[in-house]
Amino acid sequence: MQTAITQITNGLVFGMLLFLMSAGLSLIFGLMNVVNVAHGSFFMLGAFFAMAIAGWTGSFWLALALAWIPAVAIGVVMERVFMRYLYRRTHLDQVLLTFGFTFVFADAVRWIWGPEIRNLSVPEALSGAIEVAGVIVPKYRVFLIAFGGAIALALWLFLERSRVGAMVRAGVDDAGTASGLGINVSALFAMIFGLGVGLAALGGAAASPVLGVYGGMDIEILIPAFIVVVIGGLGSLRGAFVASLLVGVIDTLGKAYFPELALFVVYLLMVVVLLTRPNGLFGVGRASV
Amino acid sequence: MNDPRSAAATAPRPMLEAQSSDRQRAFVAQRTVAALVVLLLLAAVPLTGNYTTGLVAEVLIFAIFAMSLDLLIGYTGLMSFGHAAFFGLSAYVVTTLGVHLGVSGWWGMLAGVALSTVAAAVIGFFCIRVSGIPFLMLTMAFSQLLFAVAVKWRDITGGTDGLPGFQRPALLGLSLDDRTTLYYLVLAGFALTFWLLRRLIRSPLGSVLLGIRENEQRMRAIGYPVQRFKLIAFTVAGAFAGFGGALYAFFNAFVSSDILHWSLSGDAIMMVILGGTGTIVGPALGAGIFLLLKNFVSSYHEYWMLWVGLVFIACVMFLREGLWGAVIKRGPAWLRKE
Amino acid sequence: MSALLRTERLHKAFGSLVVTRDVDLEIRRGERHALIGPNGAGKTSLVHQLGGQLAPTSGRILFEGRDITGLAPEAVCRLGIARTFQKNNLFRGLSVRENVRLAVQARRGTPYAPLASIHANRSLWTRADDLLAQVRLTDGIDRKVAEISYGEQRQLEIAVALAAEPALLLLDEPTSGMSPAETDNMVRLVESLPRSLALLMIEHDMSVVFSLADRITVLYYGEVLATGTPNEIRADARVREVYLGVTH
Repeated sequence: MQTAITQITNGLVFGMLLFLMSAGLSLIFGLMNVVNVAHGSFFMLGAFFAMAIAGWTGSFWLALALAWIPAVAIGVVMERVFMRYLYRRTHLDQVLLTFGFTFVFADAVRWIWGPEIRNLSVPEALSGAIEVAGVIVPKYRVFLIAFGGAIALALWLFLERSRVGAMVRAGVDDAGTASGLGINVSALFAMIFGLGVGLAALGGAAASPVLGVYGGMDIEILIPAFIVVVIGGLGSLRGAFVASLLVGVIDTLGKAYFPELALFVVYLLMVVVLLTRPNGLFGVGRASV
Repeated sequence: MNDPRSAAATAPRPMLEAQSSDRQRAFVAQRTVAALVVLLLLAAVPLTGNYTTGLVAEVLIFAIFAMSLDLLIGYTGLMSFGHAAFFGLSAYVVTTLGVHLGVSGWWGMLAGVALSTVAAAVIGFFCIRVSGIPFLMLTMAFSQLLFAVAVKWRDITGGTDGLPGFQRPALLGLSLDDRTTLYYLVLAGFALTFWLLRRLIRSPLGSVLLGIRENEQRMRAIGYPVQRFKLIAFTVAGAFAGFGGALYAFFNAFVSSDILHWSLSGDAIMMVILGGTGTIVGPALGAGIFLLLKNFVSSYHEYWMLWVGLVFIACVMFLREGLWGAVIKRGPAWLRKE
Repeated sequence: MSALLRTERLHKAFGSLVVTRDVDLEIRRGERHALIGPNGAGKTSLVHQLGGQLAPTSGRILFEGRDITGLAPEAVCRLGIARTFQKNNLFRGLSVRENVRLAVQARRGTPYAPLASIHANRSLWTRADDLLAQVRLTDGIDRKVAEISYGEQRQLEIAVALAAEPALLLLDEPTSGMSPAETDNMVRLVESLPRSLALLMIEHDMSVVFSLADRITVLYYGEVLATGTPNEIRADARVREVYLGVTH
């Protein structure tokens, strides 16, 4: 029982991190029809920036609050300076472009910070553990679950209740019509891309005490995030949430109880979903390259 | 249509046609000479010493890999992110059969290519059912599955540490441990692949793949079972990748799970784009560019991936047709095929 | 006078949107049959179902007595139905000749041959040239499709479809986007097609319809409003009501 709760907690933690990753990926695809292969890089950048800020200021909370800013700045530059010129071309070209950026980011990080694995310390307030239903659970992990849930809620409120959110939903549904209605789709693209990579960076920053800070974390989070987005359905936030928690829990439980099969289970899940419902569980059905 | 010019145009036309086919013959001759020159240059490489010989051999092996991937990306229009699966699988078959069972590399090569072909047919069967982004993900997923097997199955594959101890077989009495002989084997393999792919592209089957890339819907409407042809393309591409993988095993005499990692598929995509999709020469050139950049830059500067990434980004933005594509477009007419 | 193609209560709905409503259509051997109706009447959706691009929700399509409902486009083509598209749907990067040769190869060539050159089989090229001559495309046929004029592309559309040697040809707005002179040429082209070939044409241009069609079917909001000879249709009260105010 103890193990089960611990594992499920870990699974939910992983799921929340995956949600922060995949929400952005899914939104970017839904609106811009682009698969941002560099999304994992922003997760990594968020972790590194958090580490740097914590190093300068000595404050974890400042790091968590600010790490996404430079990441979003880089993302917006990437979108405005590079990706914008490819919107007239096939989506494949945009995929290739973002793929090229993964190389640049991966090495830039190594260059600036070196190849060692680093860690961000958990703040005093969240260190240690609490007792939940007779089980000892690290406080930080509980925080992460709550944090992820709060972000999910905020995102939902933003998309469903705000004017800008409505514009985003319109754009995701049909960019052409939205543009015809006077919505500045170009600005929307920049905003969504920034929001998407910002979420990824936030995830990376929040994850750093648990996962560490190292080059290579970009690919390690990217593939599960891709799996989540595919299972949940490209362009669907609800799908991303459900699939994130599903994949997070299944993967963690799989690793805990069937270590031999660990890596397989999630891939098999993706293969099965892709073959039976190519648009994912909640997908909007706009998968085209 | 009743074009008043057509009556006058018929008279000089036979002469124009004759001139045109003379020009075509001259172009063919020029291309053949160019190809022979390149072949001669490649044959002379061992004279430059062991290091460059090894480098060029590596380029030729990955050229085979990249050319096989271009059959999917450039010709049939299938963006696969999992091509390393077939390259790596074959390399593993050759090495493990040799190290664990003492099977000769030649039989190993046969088995490697055969297994890669079968794997491509099976994986292709599933992947072909979807297209676009799901296809991309699915090919990657299958490739990562194989990677996971290689990492887990330490007893057979050596896991991440790899499997050393492969004994290269003899080639007609000559030892393949001799760099030069090994190089000529690789060169022969490359030339064979190049020739076969070239014939394939100019064949009826090749024209079907080109048609699928150009307009899949219309191909269906004129009677082609497109799914079947996509599967054929996927399988053939896997077979050639397997051949490359077998040569890699011979060359390296060592294999580790890196060979099945997704990043190798990514490297191949870069080679294809840098060199030029939709051509046979392009990917081969791209393999050269990529590996030479990697070797050259990394000897001066530790962070070669950054520069290759920047070059690649510049290529996608400004030179989408790739280096060879640009050469064909702006270069002399005889380089363009008929 | 046997029916070459017959639909029985063909029905297609996207959720609550019905684009084809219980359509009974009959096309006879060698017949020139026009399909007309206001925009949004469901003409192209109907042709998509006949060609296999769209699967019907219910109902049947019978071709030469055989149920072909829901068959894939490649199967439909092999059975003898070919089609052109409303928007030019060609192989833009290939030459005009190659477009047709590729279509001929599906019918008469060896598409699985992996090592022979496509130039070895001259009969396919000759047949392609013949088809191009049939649609009056003889100049500059080595140019890429992207380089020829719009009207020439419409002609090429037909040549590519004819290569399948169909018994029934579905023409989706063959004269769309054409000048009066080009339209005249297209009409003469269609007239010159062999009488053994049945045609189903979607057309908006009434002068074209009345000069070419043996029979006309009028579609309105996915339903068949009337079917008959041009004179019968001209006289039909419901048809006149629907077209009242429609100038072209």
